[in-house]
Amino acid sequence: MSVFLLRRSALLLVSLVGATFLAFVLLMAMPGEMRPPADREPEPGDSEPPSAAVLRRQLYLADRYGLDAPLMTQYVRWLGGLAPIKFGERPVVTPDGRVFRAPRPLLKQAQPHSEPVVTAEAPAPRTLAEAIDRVESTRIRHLAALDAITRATTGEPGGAVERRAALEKDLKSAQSESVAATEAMAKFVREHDPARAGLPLIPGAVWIGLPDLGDSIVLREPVATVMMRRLLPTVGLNLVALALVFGIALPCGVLSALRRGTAFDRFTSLLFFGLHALPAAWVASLLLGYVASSTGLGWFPVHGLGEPGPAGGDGVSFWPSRGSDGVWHPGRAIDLLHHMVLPVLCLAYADLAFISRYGRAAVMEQIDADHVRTARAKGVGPWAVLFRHVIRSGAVPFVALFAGSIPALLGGTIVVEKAFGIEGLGGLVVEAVVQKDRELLLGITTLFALVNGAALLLADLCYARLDPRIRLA
Amino acid sequence: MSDLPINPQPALGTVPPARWWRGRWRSGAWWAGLWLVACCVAGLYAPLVASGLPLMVEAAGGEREFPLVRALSPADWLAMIGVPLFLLGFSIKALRKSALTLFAILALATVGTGLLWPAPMRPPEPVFREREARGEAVVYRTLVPFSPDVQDLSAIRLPPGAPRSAPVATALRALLQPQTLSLAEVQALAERMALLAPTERQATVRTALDAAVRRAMGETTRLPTEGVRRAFRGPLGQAIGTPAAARALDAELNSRRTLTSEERAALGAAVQGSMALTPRERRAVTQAFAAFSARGEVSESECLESLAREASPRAVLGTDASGQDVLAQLIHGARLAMVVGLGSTAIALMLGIALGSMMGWFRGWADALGLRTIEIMASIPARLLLVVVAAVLPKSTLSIVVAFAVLGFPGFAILVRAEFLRLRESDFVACAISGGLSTVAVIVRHMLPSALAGVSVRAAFFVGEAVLAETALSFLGIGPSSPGSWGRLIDGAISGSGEFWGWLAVPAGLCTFLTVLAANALGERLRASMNVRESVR
Repeated sequence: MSVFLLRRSALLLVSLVGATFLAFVLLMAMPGEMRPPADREPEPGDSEPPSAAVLRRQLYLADRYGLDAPLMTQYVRWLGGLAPIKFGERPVVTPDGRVFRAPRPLLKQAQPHSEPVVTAEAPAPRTLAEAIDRVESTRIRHLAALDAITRATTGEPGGAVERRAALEKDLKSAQSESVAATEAMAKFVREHDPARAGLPLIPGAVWIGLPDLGDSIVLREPVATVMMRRLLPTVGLNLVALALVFGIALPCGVLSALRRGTAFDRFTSLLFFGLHALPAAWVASLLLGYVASSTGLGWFPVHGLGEPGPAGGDGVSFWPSRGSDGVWHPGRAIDLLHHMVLPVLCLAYADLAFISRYGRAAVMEQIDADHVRTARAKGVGPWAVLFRHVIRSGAVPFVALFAGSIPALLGGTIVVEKAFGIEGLGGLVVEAVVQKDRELLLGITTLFALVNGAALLLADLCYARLDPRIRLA
Repeated sequence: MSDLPINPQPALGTVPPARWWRGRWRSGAWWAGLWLVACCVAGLYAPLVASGLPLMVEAAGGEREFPLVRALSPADWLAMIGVPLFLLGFSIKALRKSALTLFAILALATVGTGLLWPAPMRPPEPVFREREARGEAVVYRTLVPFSPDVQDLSAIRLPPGAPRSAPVATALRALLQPQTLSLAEVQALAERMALLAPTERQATVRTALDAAVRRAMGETTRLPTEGVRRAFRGPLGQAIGTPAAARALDAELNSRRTLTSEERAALGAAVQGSMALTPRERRAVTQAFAAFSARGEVSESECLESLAREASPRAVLGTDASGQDVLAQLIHGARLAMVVGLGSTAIALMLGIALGSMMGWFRGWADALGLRTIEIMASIPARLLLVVVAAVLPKSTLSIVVAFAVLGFPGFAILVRAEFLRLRESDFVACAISGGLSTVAVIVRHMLPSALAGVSVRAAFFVGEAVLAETALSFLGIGPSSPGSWGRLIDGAISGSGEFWGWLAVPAGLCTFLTVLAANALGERLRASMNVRESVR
């Protein structure tokens, strides 16, 4: 058993790396630059100076993602952030300019940075804010010098050699100052830091930290936060849909197996067969156009899932309640259900065929079995035969089927989400790919791969638990 | 010897029933086959007609109007009706011999033409060639069976998938005016651009656009740059990404012709409108740009006017928001669906059979390696992977077909492997091996025929799945850029203003439904006739 678990987790790890690497390579193969919005370089002609926030953020991004590094390095770096066990010493700058770094090393290691070029008139900064401000101001000077030399180059085709030389000298000094300020800040960070790091295993070399999925480059939020926010609608919708599917399809399947060949059997199988072939986009748009929209029947809302969360301020409670004016208000729960009807219908109808056929096959397999015949011959009542003998022994694959449908809870709703304007995980995937948001896409892929692996594991464990003939090794 | 697969062959010289069609209408599989054949024929004759006979030629982006739209001639209609009738008659005759062979030929032809067809076709008129070479005109053909109208001219100016450099250039002309951007700034921009490498020039253009839009909207500091970027990630951004657009912009920067104030206002409105809008609404804006470039002027109300019309004698099934005929798009969509469904199934079958038979034959480490690969591929839900792949790959039909095949082949491989592992132990294979047959002969002649029953059932269902997936991708706006697609029609049925245009969605969805139903019905029929048991595990 433990060998089995160990093997499966190793496999999970391999497939996690494989999946994220695949997503990474695919995304990087996409044309276009991956660059956060609003982080463009300040243009020489810009009237407004780059704000401290922008500079801090640039610093953070360069540090955090290493966007200039080779692709493999970037991927390994991302993986290193995800892994709970972290190696080496690496200070990290947060978006708001805070710095944290690894525990102090036991042995003195070679400094990765080159010796800073500190000019005589620049004393070492005393606080981090001072260091950052200095980086900022030197950087602005550097840009101004760059702009001047560009203007000179474009404006004056010949002559003015002395002026150009002066400008170049100016540029060089500004550049070296800027570099020096950056180095000084890095040095400051190395020496003084609010140590915020994980639990050291071997101090200075190996420690344990929380897995870090990074920040979404476009949304400027931690990936985990974004995913949690978008996860709830998707999972909620899918859970309801899944319950609906199993609740309708399983009884239908069992009944049509018991009444094999009757009109009911033929009708349900034909109906489900037809439903399976309906494209979800079509069903969604027809429902929207004819049932939900105001030009149609206007029965259901056309967009979203209503206002998020129980609003306490305006007196709307989650559950139906009697308001202060003595009138019953439906409350958020009813509103939510009202919004959910059409999306859930769209999610549910396609899988009816699949589940009901499996139910039918499983019952048919059992119904002619020896143990069922024996039970019937013993005089066991028909309901008891059905529930205690047929369904019980036929149910093993269904538990696994149920476990296997967990990953679909996350990924199967992209079309429905788009049609009904629901902010869910499926739409997030499309957004992440279209906007080339690397951290977000990798985070989502990780989530999917983990959930998928866990579901497969769960299915196998269920098999072993329910069917003693199956042994895990 | 009990497990020898015995296929009861009908006695030679069986006389076919005198009236073979009697009772066929009761068989769902027969109708399913007929529908698929019809789709193939529709997909096949669309390019045949389009390549053989000039249907309609339209120049987009020209300075002056081109009265070039030509209606279908009687010869065109004859070809459109005669070719399928001929093929259908041929197929009915051949159906008695071997329906499968015929369908295979038809499918192959459809897939081939579908993948090869949207090749550049030269219009007959030399003036077009000239203008096309100069990048001033975009020439395209469609099967649009409506006659030209002054009102329709602007509607069909932007063919689907055509480069949009001309409207962008016009937009930029308005945005980069001395009034909106100071003269010195424009001059500096132009000078710097001359110094830059082509790739850098594109980046500069983008920055200039940022600045220009911010100024045009009178919000120098407040406007979030994300908004601007989002706006240009749309149709404008795509166009800017092309070298042709960069060239056009260069030209525009040099010739500083002023526009009237209303033109600029309209453009401002369009740009403002394209911000933070859904793709569907942005499409309307692109269309407004197109109309703008065609006439040189446009009023604000016209920017968002849609050209969707219900069925009329000129457009039998109505037109969509950009004025394209729905029937024509349905026919093109049939070809796309057939190409994606049949093509990806064929490739997936080949890959799956090759990998699965190797895994099942060699067993050992080859098997383990293949299984691990498949397990890793299965660890990402297929739909997620599909969306990622479809969004990343170039939007050609071929890349979508290959993507579907690569995502689908592990299922076939697993099936073939399981069959091979079982057959490997059977007596007739042992006989064949001990009889001295080569490995290839044993696999191809003895094992594969017995292993293919389950695979062929799955293949039929895979066709349906692929068609459904293509529709979903087109609905999401990341499908292949074919002249027409059922999913795109469904997507267009709900307009940006919330109107519902049922005449777009109903026929397209019905076609998808029938195609998937047909594929699934054939799968069911195969399952019944080959006696493949559906297993629960």
